[in-house]
Amino acid sequence: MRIIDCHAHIASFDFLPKSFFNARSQTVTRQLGFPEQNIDRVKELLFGLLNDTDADIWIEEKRNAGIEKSVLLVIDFGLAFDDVLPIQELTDKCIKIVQKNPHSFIPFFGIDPRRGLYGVTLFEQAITAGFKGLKLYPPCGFSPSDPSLFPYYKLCELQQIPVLIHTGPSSSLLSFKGCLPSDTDDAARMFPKVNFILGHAGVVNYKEASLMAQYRSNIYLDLSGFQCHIANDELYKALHYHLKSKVGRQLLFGTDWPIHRLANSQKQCVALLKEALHKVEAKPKEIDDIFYGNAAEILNLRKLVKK
Amino acid sequence: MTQIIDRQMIYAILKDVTGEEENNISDSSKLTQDLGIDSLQFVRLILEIEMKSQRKIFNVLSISKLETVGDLINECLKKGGIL
Repeated sequence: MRIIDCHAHIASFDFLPKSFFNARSQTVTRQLGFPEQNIDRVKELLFGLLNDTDADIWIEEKRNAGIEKSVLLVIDFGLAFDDVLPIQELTDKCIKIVQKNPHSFIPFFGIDPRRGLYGVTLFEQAITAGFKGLKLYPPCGFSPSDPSLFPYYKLCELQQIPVLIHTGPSSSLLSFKGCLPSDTDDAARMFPKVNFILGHAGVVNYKEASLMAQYRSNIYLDLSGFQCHIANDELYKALHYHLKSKVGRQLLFGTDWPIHRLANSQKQCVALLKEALHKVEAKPKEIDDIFYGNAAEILNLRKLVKK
Repeated sequence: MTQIIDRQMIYAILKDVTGEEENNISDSSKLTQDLGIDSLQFVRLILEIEMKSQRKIFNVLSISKLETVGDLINECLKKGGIL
Protein backbone atom coordinates (compact mmCIF):
# COMPACT_ATOMS: atom_id res chain seq x y z
CA MET A 1 0.00 0.00 0.00
CA ARG A 2 1.29 3.46 -0.89
CA ILE A 3 1.23 6.10 1.84
CA ILE A 4 1.50 9.88 2.03
CA ASP A 5 1.57 11.54 5.44
CA CYS A 6 -0.10 14.87 4.80
CA HIS A 7 0.66 16.56 8.13
CA ALA A 8 4.09 16.59 9.78
CA HIS A 9 6.79 18.89 11.14
CA ILE A 10 10.53 18.83 11.74
CA ALA A 11 11.23 17.64 15.29
CA SER A 12 13.31 20.61 16.31
CA PHE A 13 13.01 23.74 18.44
CA ASP A 14 13.92 25.64 15.29
CA PHE A 15 10.52 24.74 13.87
CA LEU A 16 8.42 24.27 17.03
CA PRO A 17 9.39 26.90 19.62
CA LYS A 18 10.25 26.07 23.22
CA SER A 19 7.62 28.49 24.54
CA PHE A 20 4.98 26.54 22.60
CA PHE A 21 6.08 23.31 24.26
CA ASN A 22 6.33 24.95 27.70
CA ALA A 23 2.68 25.87 27.47
CA ARG A 24 1.81 22.46 26.07
CA SER A 25 3.50 20.81 29.07
CA GLN A 26 1.29 22.84 31.41
CA THR A 27 -1.82 21.84 29.47
CA VAL A 28 -0.88 18.15 29.41
CA THR A 29 -0.16 18.17 33.17
CA ARG A 30 -3.55 19.79 33.78
CA GLN A 31 -5.38 17.42 31.42
CA LEU A 32 -3.86 14.44 33.21
CA GLY A 33 -4.89 15.82 36.58
CA PHE A 34 -1.33 15.62 37.91
CA PRO A 35 -0.06 18.06 40.54
CA GLU A 36 1.94 21.03 39.21
CA GLN A 37 5.19 19.55 40.57
CA ASN A 38 5.07 16.98 37.78
CA ILE A 39 5.36 19.62 35.12
CA ASP A 40 9.15 19.42 34.93
CA ARG A 41 9.05 15.72 34.04
CA VAL A 42 6.26 16.27 31.51
CA LYS A 43 8.33 19.08 30.03
CA GLU A 44 11.39 16.85 29.89
CA LEU A 45 9.43 14.15 28.05
CA LEU A 46 7.84 16.58 25.60
CA PHE A 47 11.06 18.51 24.97
CA GLY A 48 12.65 15.14 24.22
CA LEU A 49 10.37 14.84 21.20
CA LEU A 50 12.31 17.56 19.45
CA ASN A 51 15.64 15.79 19.13
CA ASP A 52 15.70 15.23 15.40
CA THR A 53 16.86 18.49 13.86
CA ASP A 54 18.12 16.90 10.63
CA ALA A 55 15.13 14.53 10.33
CA ASP A 56 17.37 11.45 10.34
CA ILE A 57 15.30 9.56 12.95
CA TRP A 58 12.15 10.52 11.11
CA ILE A 59 13.45 9.27 7.75
CA GLU A 60 14.27 5.92 9.34
CA GLU A 61 10.83 5.68 10.96
CA LYS A 62 9.13 6.64 7.72
CA ARG A 63 11.03 3.91 5.90
CA ASN A 64 9.96 1.32 8.48
CA ALA A 65 6.37 2.48 8.18
CA GLY A 66 6.31 2.47 4.39
CA ILE A 67 5.50 6.17 4.25
CA GLU A 68 6.61 7.34 0.82
CA LYS A 69 6.28 11.07 1.30
CA SER A 70 5.45 13.45 4.12
CA VAL A 71 4.04 16.94 3.84
CA LEU A 72 6.50 19.02 5.82
CA LEU A 73 4.74 21.97 7.36
CA VAL A 74 6.60 25.12 8.33
CA ILE A 75 4.68 27.35 10.75
CA ASP A 76 5.31 31.07 10.95
CA PHE A 77 5.21 31.62 14.73
CA GLY A 78 7.26 34.81 14.37
CA LEU A 79 4.53 37.27 15.37
CA ALA A 80 3.31 35.13 18.28
CA PHE A 81 6.50 34.00 20.03
CA ASP A 82 9.92 35.58 20.60
CA ASP A 83 11.99 32.39 20.59
CA VAL A 84 11.77 31.62 16.88
CA LEU A 85 14.10 31.91 13.94
CA PRO A 86 13.48 34.63 11.37
CA ILE A 87 11.04 33.35 8.75
CA GLN A 88 13.62 33.36 5.94
CA GLU A 89 16.11 31.38 8.01
CA LEU A 90 13.39 28.88 8.85
CA THR A 91 12.48 28.53 5.19
CA ASP A 92 16.13 28.04 4.22
CA LYS A 93 16.57 25.34 6.86
CA CYS A 94 13.51 23.55 5.53
CA ILE A 95 14.83 23.71 1.96
CA LYS A 96 18.12 22.16 3.09
CA ILE A 97 16.34 19.24 4.74
CA VAL A 98 14.18 18.71 1.66
CA GLN A 99 17.19 18.89 -0.67
CA LYS A 100 18.96 16.28 1.45
CA ASN A 101 15.92 13.98 1.10
CA PRO A 102 14.34 15.08 -2.18
CA HIS A 103 11.91 12.17 -2.52
CA SER A 104 10.74 12.10 1.09
CA PHE A 105 9.21 15.50 1.71
CA ILE A 106 6.65 17.86 0.22
CA PRO A 107 7.30 21.23 1.88
CA PHE A 108 4.53 23.74 2.67
CA PHE A 109 5.50 27.35 3.28
CA GLY A 110 4.24 28.94 6.51
CA ILE A 111 3.27 32.59 6.76
CA ASP A 112 1.40 34.92 9.07
CA PRO A 113 -0.62 37.20 6.76
CA ARG A 114 0.04 40.18 9.02
CA ARG A 115 3.47 40.32 7.41
CA GLY A 116 1.68 42.01 4.50
CA LEU A 117 3.01 42.19 0.96
CA TYR A 118 6.49 41.23 2.13
CA GLY A 119 4.97 37.87 3.04
CA VAL A 120 3.49 37.46 -0.44
CA THR A 121 6.92 38.08 -1.95
CA LEU A 122 8.41 35.48 0.39
CA PHE A 123 5.72 33.03 -0.67
CA GLU A 124 6.46 33.60 -4.36
CA GLN A 125 10.14 32.99 -3.69
CA ALA A 126 9.32 29.88 -1.69
CA ILE A 127 7.26 28.45 -4.56
CA THR A 128 10.17 29.03 -6.89
CA ALA A 129 12.43 27.29 -4.37
CA GLY A 130 10.19 24.20 -4.43
CA PHE A 131 7.49 24.67 -1.80
CA LYS A 132 4.31 22.87 -2.87
CA GLY A 133 1.67 24.37 -0.58
CA LEU A 134 0.78 26.99 2.00
CA LYS A 135 0.48 26.34 5.74
CA LEU A 136 -1.55 28.70 7.92
CA TYR A 137 -1.75 28.71 11.70
CA PRO A 138 -4.74 30.87 12.78
CA PRO A 139 -4.11 30.43 16.56
CA CYS A 140 -1.29 32.98 16.09
CA GLY A 141 -4.04 35.58 15.78
CA PHE A 142 -5.76 35.78 12.40
CA SER A 143 -8.73 34.37 10.54
CA PRO A 144 -8.18 32.03 7.58
CA SER A 145 -10.87 33.99 5.74
CA ASP A 146 -9.24 37.39 6.35
CA PRO A 147 -8.91 39.38 3.10
CA SER A 148 -5.19 39.86 3.82
CA LEU A 149 -4.84 36.21 2.80
CA PHE A 150 -6.52 36.58 -0.56
CA PRO A 151 -3.29 37.43 -2.45
CA TYR A 152 -1.85 34.17 -1.08
CA TYR A 153 -4.92 32.22 -2.15
CA LYS A 154 -4.74 33.80 -5.61
CA LEU A 155 -1.17 32.55 -5.88
CA CYS A 156 -2.28 29.09 -4.77
CA GLU A 157 -4.98 29.13 -7.44
CA LEU A 158 -2.50 30.20 -10.09
CA GLN A 159 0.05 27.59 -9.06
CA GLN A 160 -2.58 24.91 -8.36
CA ILE A 161 -1.25 24.21 -4.91
CA PRO A 162 -3.23 23.51 -1.72
CA VAL A 163 -3.53 25.35 1.58
CA LEU A 164 -3.37 23.50 4.90
CA ILE A 165 -5.02 25.33 7.81
CA HIS A 166 -4.77 24.31 11.44
CA THR A 167 -8.12 23.76 13.15
CA GLY A 168 -8.95 22.94 16.78
CA PRO A 169 -7.07 23.66 20.01
CA SER A 170 -3.43 24.73 20.03
CA SER A 171 -1.30 26.24 22.80
CA SER A 172 -2.75 27.94 25.89
CA LEU A 173 -0.69 30.98 24.89
CA LEU A 174 -2.48 31.28 21.55
CA SER A 175 -6.01 31.97 20.41
CA PHE A 176 -8.95 29.66 19.78
CA LYS A 177 -10.38 32.22 17.36
CA GLY A 178 -10.16 31.32 13.70
CA CYS A 179 -9.73 27.65 14.55
CA LEU A 180 -13.18 26.25 13.74
CA PRO A 181 -13.67 24.54 10.38
CA SER A 182 -16.35 27.11 9.51
CA ASP A 183 -13.79 29.92 9.88
CA THR A 184 -12.33 28.75 6.57
CA ASP A 185 -15.69 28.72 4.84
CA ASP A 186 -15.58 32.20 3.29
CA ALA A 187 -12.14 31.51 1.85
CA ALA A 188 -13.22 28.13 0.47
CA ARG A 189 -16.34 29.65 -1.06
CA MET A 190 -14.49 32.58 -2.65
CA PHE A 191 -11.64 30.43 -3.97
CA PRO A 192 -13.37 27.29 -5.25
CA LYS A 193 -10.36 26.28 -7.34
CA VAL A 194 -8.07 26.20 -4.31
CA ASN A 195 -8.05 23.02 -2.23
CA PHE A 196 -8.21 23.72 1.50
CA ILE A 197 -7.04 21.02 3.89
CA LEU A 198 -8.45 21.48 7.39
CA GLY A 199 -5.76 20.16 9.72
CA HIS A 200 -7.01 17.70 12.36
CA ALA A 201 -10.62 18.30 11.28
CA GLY A 202 -11.07 14.60 10.52
CA VAL A 203 -11.16 14.06 14.30
CA VAL A 204 -11.65 17.50 15.92
CA ASN A 205 -14.97 19.31 15.36
CA TYR A 206 -15.42 16.63 12.76
CA LYS A 207 -19.17 16.89 12.27
CA GLU A 208 -18.97 20.55 11.25
CA ALA A 209 -15.98 19.79 9.03
CA SER A 210 -17.71 16.81 7.44
CA LEU A 211 -20.73 18.96 6.64
CA MET A 212 -18.49 21.52 4.93
CA ALA A 213 -16.78 18.77 2.95
CA GLN A 214 -20.17 17.48 1.80
CA TYR A 215 -21.06 20.90 0.37
CA ARG A 216 -17.65 22.02 -0.85
CA SER A 217 -15.54 19.72 -2.98
CA ASN A 218 -12.44 21.87 -2.30
CA ILE A 219 -12.51 21.08 1.43
CA TYR A 220 -10.34 18.19 2.66
CA LEU A 221 -10.01 16.93 6.22
CA ASP A 222 -6.77 15.57 7.57
CA LEU A 223 -6.91 12.89 10.24
CA SER A 224 -3.72 13.87 12.09
CA GLY A 225 -4.25 13.83 15.82
CA PHE A 226 -6.27 10.62 15.61
CA GLN A 227 -3.76 9.25 18.11
CA CYS A 228 -5.53 11.35 20.80
CA HIS A 229 -8.91 9.85 19.95
CA ILE A 230 -8.33 6.14 20.40
CA ALA A 231 -10.02 5.88 23.80
CA ASN A 232 -13.81 5.47 23.98
CA ASP A 233 -13.98 4.54 20.29
CA GLU A 234 -13.92 8.23 19.32
CA LEU A 235 -11.83 7.55 16.21
CA TYR A 236 -14.20 4.84 15.01
CA LYS A 237 -17.17 7.15 15.50
CA ALA A 238 -15.49 9.93 13.48
CA LEU A 239 -14.43 7.61 10.63
CA HIS A 240 -17.84 5.98 10.51
CA TYR A 241 -19.48 9.41 10.36
CA HIS A 242 -17.28 10.58 7.48
CA LEU A 243 -17.73 7.43 5.43
CA LYS A 244 -21.47 7.44 6.01
CA SER A 245 -21.49 11.09 4.87
CA LYS A 246 -19.63 10.07 1.68
CA VAL A 247 -16.62 12.29 2.24
CA GLY A 248 -14.08 9.46 2.08
CA ARG A 249 -12.57 11.09 -1.04
CA GLN A 250 -11.76 14.14 1.09
CA LEU A 251 -10.03 12.42 4.02
CA LEU A 252 -6.25 12.43 4.32
CA PHE A 253 -3.90 10.38 6.49
CA GLY A 254 -1.60 12.46 8.70
CA THR A 255 0.61 11.73 11.71
CA ASP A 256 1.47 15.21 13.02
CA TRP A 257 5.01 13.96 13.63
CA PRO A 258 6.66 14.55 16.13
CA ILE A 259 3.76 15.51 18.42
CA HIS A 260 2.56 11.96 19.10
CA ARG A 261 5.83 10.09 18.79
CA LEU A 262 5.97 9.32 22.52
CA ALA A 263 3.01 7.01 22.16
CA ASN A 264 3.21 5.90 18.54
CA SER A 265 5.97 5.30 16.04
CA GLN A 266 5.24 6.15 12.42
CA LYS A 267 4.70 2.44 11.83
CA GLN A 268 2.20 2.23 14.68
CA CYS A 269 0.35 5.28 13.32
CA VAL A 270 -0.14 3.54 9.98
CA ALA A 271 -1.21 0.29 11.66
CA LEU A 272 -3.62 2.08 14.00
CA LEU A 273 -5.45 3.99 11.31
CA LYS A 274 -5.52 1.01 8.97
CA GLU A 275 -7.03 -1.14 11.72
CA ALA A 276 -9.58 1.55 12.57
CA LEU A 277 -10.62 1.82 8.91
CA HIS A 278 -11.04 -1.94 8.71
CA LYS A 279 -13.10 -1.85 11.88
CA VAL A 280 -15.54 0.67 10.38
CA GLU A 281 -15.68 -1.49 7.25
CA ALA A 282 -14.09 0.99 4.89
CA LYS A 283 -13.75 -0.42 1.38
CA PRO A 284 -10.22 -1.23 0.11
CA LYS A 285 -10.45 1.65 -2.38
CA GLU A 286 -11.45 4.07 0.39
CA ILE A 287 -8.49 2.94 2.49
CA ASP A 288 -6.09 3.39 -0.44
CA ASP A 289 -7.53 6.85 -1.13
CA ILE A 290 -7.22 7.98 2.48
CA PHE A 291 -3.63 6.80 2.77
CA TYR A 292 -2.50 7.90 -0.68
CA GLY A 293 -4.91 8.64 -3.52
CA ASN A 294 -6.63 11.72 -2.12
CA ALA A 295 -3.36 13.38 -1.16
CA ALA A 296 -1.70 12.42 -4.44
CA GLU A 297 -4.50 14.13 -6.30
CA ILE A 298 -4.41 17.47 -4.52
CA LEU A 299 -0.62 17.49 -4.33
CA ASN A 300 -0.52 16.96 -8.10
CA LEU A 301 1.43 13.74 -7.72
CA ARG A 302 -0.75 12.03 -10.26
CA LYS A 303 -2.94 13.33 -12.98
CA LEU A 304 -6.57 12.79 -12.12
CA VAL A 305 -9.61 14.57 -13.33
CA LYS A 306 -11.05 16.56 -10.47
CA LYS A 307 -14.40 15.16 -9.49
CA MET B 1 14.25 6.61 47.98
CA THR B 2 13.41 4.49 44.93
CA GLN B 3 10.77 1.75 45.15
CA ILE B 4 10.84 -1.59 43.45
CA ILE B 5 7.96 -1.72 41.07
CA ASP B 6 6.58 -5.16 40.38
CA ARG B 7 4.52 -6.69 37.59
CA GLN B 8 1.38 -6.56 39.72
CA MET B 9 1.84 -2.84 40.20
CA ILE B 10 2.23 -2.28 36.44
CA TYR B 11 -0.94 -4.24 35.80
CA ALA B 12 -2.76 -2.21 38.47
CA ILE B 13 -1.59 1.03 36.82
CA LEU B 14 -2.71 -0.25 33.42
CA LYS B 15 -6.10 -1.13 34.88
CA ASP B 16 -6.38 2.34 36.35
CA VAL B 17 -5.31 4.12 33.15
CA THR B 18 -7.37 2.04 30.74
CA GLY B 19 -10.37 1.01 32.81
CA GLU B 20 -9.79 -2.57 31.63
CA GLU B 21 -10.09 -5.47 34.08
CA GLU B 22 -6.71 -7.01 34.88
CA ASN B 23 -7.78 -10.37 33.46
CA ASN B 24 -8.26 -8.64 30.10
CA ILE B 25 -4.63 -7.50 30.16
CA SER B 26 -1.70 -9.75 29.28
CA ASP B 27 1.96 -9.28 28.44
CA SER B 28 1.09 -9.59 24.76
CA SER B 29 -1.63 -6.92 24.88
CA LYS B 30 -0.83 -4.04 22.55
CA LEU B 31 -0.92 -0.79 24.48
CA THR B 32 -2.75 1.21 21.83
CA GLN B 33 -4.64 -1.28 19.68
CA ASP B 34 -5.77 -3.66 22.44
CA LEU B 35 -5.94 -1.41 25.49
CA GLY B 36 -7.00 1.77 23.70
CA ILE B 37 -4.28 3.92 25.25
CA ASP B 38 -4.14 7.21 23.38
CA SER B 39 -1.21 9.60 23.34
CA LEU B 40 -2.29 11.56 26.42
CA GLN B 41 -3.00 8.43 28.43
CA PHE B 42 0.41 7.18 27.38
CA VAL B 43 2.07 10.11 29.16
CA ARG B 44 -0.08 9.34 32.19
CA LEU B 45 1.01 5.69 32.14
CA ILE B 46 4.68 6.64 31.98
CA LEU B 47 4.37 9.19 34.78
CA GLU B 48 2.34 6.88 37.04
CA ILE B 49 5.01 4.19 36.75
CA GLU B 50 7.80 6.67 37.42
CA MET B 51 5.96 8.25 40.34
CA LYS B 52 5.33 4.85 41.94
CA SER B 53 8.95 3.77 41.46
CA GLN B 54 10.26 7.22 42.32
CA ARG B 55 12.77 7.24 39.51
CA LYS B 56 13.08 8.17 35.87
CA ILE B 57 12.74 5.05 33.75
CA PHE B 58 11.83 6.23 30.27
CA ASN B 59 13.17 8.49 27.56
CA VAL B 60 11.77 9.39 24.16
CA LEU B 61 13.74 6.76 22.28
CA SER B 62 12.84 3.93 24.65
CA ILE B 63 9.19 4.96 24.93
CA SER B 64 8.59 5.04 21.20
CA LYS B 65 9.62 1.37 20.96
CA LEU B 66 7.01 0.19 23.46
CA GLU B 67 4.23 -1.68 21.71
CA THR B 68 3.03 -4.25 24.23
CA VAL B 69 2.60 -4.62 27.98
CA GLY B 70 5.55 -7.01 27.84
CA ASP B 71 7.72 -4.30 26.26
CA LEU B 72 6.72 -1.94 29.06
CA ILE B 73 7.61 -4.48 31.73
CA ASN B 74 10.94 -5.26 30.04
CA GLU B 75 11.82 -1.57 29.92
CA CYS B 76 11.19 -1.30 33.66
CA LEU B 77 13.19 -4.47 34.18
CA LYS B 78 16.18 -2.93 32.39
CA LYS B 79 16.17 -0.22 35.04
CA GLY B 80 16.10 -2.87 37.77
CA GLY B 81 12.56 -2.12 38.80
CA ILE B 82 10.60 -5.31 38.27
CA LEU B 83 10.46 -8.29 40.63
